[in-house]
Amino acid sequence: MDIPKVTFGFALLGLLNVSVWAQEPSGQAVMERHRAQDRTADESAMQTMTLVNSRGGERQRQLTYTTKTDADGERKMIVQFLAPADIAGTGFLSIEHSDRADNRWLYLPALRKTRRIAGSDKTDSFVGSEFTYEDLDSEKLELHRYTLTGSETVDDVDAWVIEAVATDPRRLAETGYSRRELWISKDHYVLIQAKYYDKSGGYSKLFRAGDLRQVPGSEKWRAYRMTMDDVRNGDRTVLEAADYRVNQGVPDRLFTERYLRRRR
Amino acid sequence: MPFYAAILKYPRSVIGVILLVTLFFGWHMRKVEFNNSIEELLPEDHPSVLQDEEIKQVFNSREMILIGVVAEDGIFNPRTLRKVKDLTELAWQVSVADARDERELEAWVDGLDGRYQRDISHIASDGLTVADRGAVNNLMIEVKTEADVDPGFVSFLEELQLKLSPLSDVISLAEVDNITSSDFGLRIEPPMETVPETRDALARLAATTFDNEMFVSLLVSPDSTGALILAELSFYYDEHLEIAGRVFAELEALAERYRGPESVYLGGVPMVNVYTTTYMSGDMAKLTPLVILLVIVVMYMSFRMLRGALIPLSVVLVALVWTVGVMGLVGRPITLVVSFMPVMLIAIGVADGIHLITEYKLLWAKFRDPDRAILGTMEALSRPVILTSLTTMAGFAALASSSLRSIKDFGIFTSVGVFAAMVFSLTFIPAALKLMKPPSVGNDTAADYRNRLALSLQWLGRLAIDRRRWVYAGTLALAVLSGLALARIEVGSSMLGLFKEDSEIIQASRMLTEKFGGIEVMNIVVDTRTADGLKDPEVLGKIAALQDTLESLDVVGYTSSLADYVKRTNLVMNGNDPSFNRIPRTTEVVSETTWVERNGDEVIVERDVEVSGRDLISQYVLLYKNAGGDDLEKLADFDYSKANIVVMIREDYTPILKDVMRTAQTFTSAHFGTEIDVTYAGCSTLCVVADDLIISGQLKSLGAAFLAVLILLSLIFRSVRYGLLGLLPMVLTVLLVFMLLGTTGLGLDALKALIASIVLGIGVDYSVHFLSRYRSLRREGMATRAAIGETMNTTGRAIAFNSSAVAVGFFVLTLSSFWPVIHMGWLVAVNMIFSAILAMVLLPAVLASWEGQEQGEQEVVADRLAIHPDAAVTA
Repeated sequence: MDIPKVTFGFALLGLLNVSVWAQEPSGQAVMERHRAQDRTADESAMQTMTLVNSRGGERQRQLTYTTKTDADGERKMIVQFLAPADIAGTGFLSIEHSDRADNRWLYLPALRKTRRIAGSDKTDSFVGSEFTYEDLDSEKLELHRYTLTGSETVDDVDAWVIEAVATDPRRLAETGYSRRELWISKDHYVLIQAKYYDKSGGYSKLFRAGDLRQVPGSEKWRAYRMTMDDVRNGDRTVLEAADYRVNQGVPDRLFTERYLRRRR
Repeated sequence: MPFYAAILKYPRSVIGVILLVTLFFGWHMRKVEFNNSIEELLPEDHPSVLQDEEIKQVFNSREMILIGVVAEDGIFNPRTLRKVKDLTELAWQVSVADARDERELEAWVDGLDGRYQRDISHIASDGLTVADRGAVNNLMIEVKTEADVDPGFVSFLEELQLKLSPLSDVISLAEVDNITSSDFGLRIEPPMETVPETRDALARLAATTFDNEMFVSLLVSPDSTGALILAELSFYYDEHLEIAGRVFAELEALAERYRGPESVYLGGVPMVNVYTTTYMSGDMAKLTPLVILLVIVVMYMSFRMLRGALIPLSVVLVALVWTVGVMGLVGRPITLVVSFMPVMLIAIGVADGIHLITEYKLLWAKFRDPDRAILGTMEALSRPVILTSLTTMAGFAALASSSLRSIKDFGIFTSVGVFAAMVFSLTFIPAALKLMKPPSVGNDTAADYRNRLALSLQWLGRLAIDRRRWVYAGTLALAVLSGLALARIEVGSSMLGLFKEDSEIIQASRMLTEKFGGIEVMNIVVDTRTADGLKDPEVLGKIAALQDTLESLDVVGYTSSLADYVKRTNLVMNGNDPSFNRIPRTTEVVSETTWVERNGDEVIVERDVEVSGRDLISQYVLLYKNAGGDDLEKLADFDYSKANIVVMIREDYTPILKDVMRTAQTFTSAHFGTEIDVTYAGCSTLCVVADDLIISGQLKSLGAAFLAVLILLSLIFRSVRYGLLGLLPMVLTVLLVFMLLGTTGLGLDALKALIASIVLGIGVDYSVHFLSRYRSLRREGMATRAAIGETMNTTGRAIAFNSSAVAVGFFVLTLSSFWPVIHMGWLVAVNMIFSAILAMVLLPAVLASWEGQEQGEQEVVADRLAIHPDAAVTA
């Protein structure tokens, strides 16, 4: 055997490999980069939620949310409404569990009562918007298969296009989607667009992120404007964020029933 | 007459042209649809229709099909509940796309030069199934973004989408939001996620179901022997009737699989409509040939000549093709009101042919020369044929003044048919006679009978003259009695009242009405005109009170509104304490436990605080929406300014619906302030509106018809006096129609509103024939009495014959599947005979009274207007 030839061959293979890698990372690899950029220990923001219906009606609400994500990626979230006045103080607390149904609580200030919500469903609408609780979850890489399907420019941002399909049986049972298409920006690995396909494969929702900015004092990039369109009935939810804060060292006691009922 | 000479010269070309044009119209017949929705009856721009459309849009509501599962020994057993669950799930899977759609899809692929080829061949690879819903949806979205896309392809895809998912919502115990609270927390989920198997679980399900008032009478019958599945169509059924028909067939097939020992019933407004259409096309297929056969028999008996029967018949059949072709061309559907037009056109359209053939036979016997006989016939009769057609058309065209679209259509298209029949009578008949062998003469066996008829008619004429006073007294009495009966006519219609007792839809509707809240829906929309106005406890409280008031009526079986959801949430959020099964008050006192700092420690304290009921309601709504409850979208608009109160009513007779509406109106005007608007919508409201339009339409169209006929008659006779005289029998006949409607208690509905116009349109011919023959005889120098006698002898026979033929034709309608058509059939038949008798009694009486004073006028009377004796029946 002619050793130099073989070595050369290996070297060539290696080169090829590298060049392929340079152009086309795997879907998994892109999503890992995305997760690294997306993941925070905790995060909070003020949001203006605008619900727009297909007949042109608009309703606005203001809320604050805080999330805290543990090492396993399980997320706690507390949402409290600031406006309009008749729902101000209404709060939702949700604690995600990878091995069982999420726990959710609700606080109605007019009743001064907290109630646990049993049998919560990931496909439930988040406070009546086009977003479901599932849409707000952090991306669970180990529960999905990601395939890079190409590369596209969306609103002048170069992005990888990735198809995400749930592989984990539990996830398959609880998700409302058969697949998702994700557009991850090539520069900062931010999710800039997503298309959601229902269980029968029908394209049902479109997510778009805009006004991408780096959160002050952090490495993290965030979309300061997000829209979710129901492509079938024309309804839309717009979330405009202000005052993103990440990794502030939020204490666990924020995610308790007691904190939920705290008057703000 | 050069026109008829030309026809006789080129008879084949004339027939050829007529056939070609008939083919053209025949081709357009295929476009004609059957449609019996209330929307089709009412004018598109009527305020109530526009309001109803707006409300449907705002609340995204479409018609429901009700599937009732009835088990007489109770539904709370695993077998019956399993059926409810299966039917619910299978209803979701209903798809009505078929091989035809597949072929059409493939045809589109071929035409699209490769675009979407991959998508489409993927969709069609294993046939069009429910699994293709997503793919078709995606293709649709993709195609719509293209600028140069074929609009035909888009509408095909839109329809295909509807066919693949024709139901937008299916609600049952297995699929409805039920808000409950327990130690485990708040839960919003269907009462029956899985079918209970154990005694305990079954009892629990029964308890849960009856615990929620919103389910009782809607999803479960109060005696727990019935469960209901509500399937909402994903389209407005009157816009896609063909798809709707397929959906019903599919659901019926599904129901059939689950029958026994349980009964499964299908009902609801769209179903009633489908049954109407099915029975209606059955009627048309059954009654039209029957009328044709009857007319052939009657005509053969009178002519003893098969050709004589076939020629007039072909005239009306061709006229029918033209008329229905015109309907297809202008895109008007066949409704129940229009459906018996064929039978009627045949019955009245053969008259011209009968007159022409009779005259031809007479002249042929005289001249023994076809050309002379035909020309002579046309010369003698074309004028009366044209005139009587015009007066008949005027009678029917007057119906166009009605605002109800199917009545308008009926009037217009019947006029078109009469016109077409007239054109063929004057062109096709001479051409056909020319091409045919001349008739044989002399085997007239019916002569005796006719002579007897002639004698009795002459006797009738003499009687009318001699006993004039009696005739006038009788006429006056008739008019007074009719006037009295007029007040007793009730206007009212009922969709279910259309059908016979033993029909499937009546059985199903009766069962659904008995077990559940009713099948007729009325929507009461409360508009506060302010965003979030509905969250005001006072407004919601009034809505709840309105519901209570309506539910106290026997005919109201169920109501539902936002108030019910708020009440239910209030109950559940307050630990199921029954005293909270109500709308929150403007201010509520709640107890608050809170941590306060005391001496450096935090301790729990409990205290009462005042909270706003409005905030409570807002928060309940948010809670509901957060849990994915989208039921509220049907009951409140986007900004919570308008509420939709759904009222289910057990009866669909319009006066009863009107009572319900009046009860609601009385309540709202007493309790709702001026800043709150209340409007009524839904099928039942439209039916009530239609009733009002029937009355005004009837008055308008009769007024217009009388006026048009009076003008026409006055022109024909060049004398208003004769015009009025000709109208007199008609006025009395119409009064008689109303008297019959009043005394029989049958009432007036869209169909019966036609009777007066039909009787008027056909009956006016009798006056025209009678008076023109009489005046022609007088002009020839005959004395009044002799002229009347001769007129009775000739025209009288024609009238007797024509009215019995029309009566027999209409009598066929009594074989219909629909009550109103049956009633109309015999009412028109009876009134046609009355109309003939009235003409033959009243006209001689009045003419005899005029005898003395008329001498001077007689010379003035239109000599120029040579109305020829129509010589109708002198064989």
